[in-house]
Amino acid sequence: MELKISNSCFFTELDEKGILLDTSDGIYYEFDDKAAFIWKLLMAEDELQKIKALYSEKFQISNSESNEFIEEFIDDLKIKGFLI
Amino acid sequence: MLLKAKKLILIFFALSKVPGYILKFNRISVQKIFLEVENQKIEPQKINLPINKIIELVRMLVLCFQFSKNCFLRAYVSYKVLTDLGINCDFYVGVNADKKFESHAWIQIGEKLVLESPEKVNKLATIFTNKK
Repeated sequence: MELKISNSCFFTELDEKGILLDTSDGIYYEFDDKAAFIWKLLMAEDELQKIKALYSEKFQISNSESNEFIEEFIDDLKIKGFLI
Repeated sequence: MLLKAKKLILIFFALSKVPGYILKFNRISVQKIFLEVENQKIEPQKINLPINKIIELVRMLVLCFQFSKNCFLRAYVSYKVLTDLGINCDFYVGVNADKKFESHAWIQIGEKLVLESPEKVNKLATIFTNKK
């Protein structure tokens, strides 16, 4: 599954966290360290399976928990139009 | 008289690039646009230009070509036009510090805001600027 970040998104890091700005409507979203970690990997165009594995390793959680969290997060991003 | 004509020609050519900048903003990602702004080099000119009038014209053109008051597009196009004219300016993006989750983009020349209200900008926390 290929995921593309919407052209209207701007992401910037603040410490380990991040801010995602939707320049089409000017609304911004604050990302915690977990969301920021995933978003940075999405920006680097890493494959979803690799992202899941890296996430599970970084936050010391099981693969199933990692899969569930990432799938949910990606669905949210798609609904909001940040991922195409 | 000659200087006035030179100024008008310079402004005309700078403004003629506005549609191209709008197209570019719509085509490529904002992340790349901001990277471009960050790496923009300016060749300063010594001619005094009516900056506020130029920005008003830019805003009018953006509204005509894009029917948009999007501050990011407006600030980007204004920034490009001013730098084309050799005016040293800085591009800023800020987010509302009082948690309304709104953001804004604007242009400054040194500490001076360009056609922006200080009340609005003072409430914002800067998250991006190309100011060195």
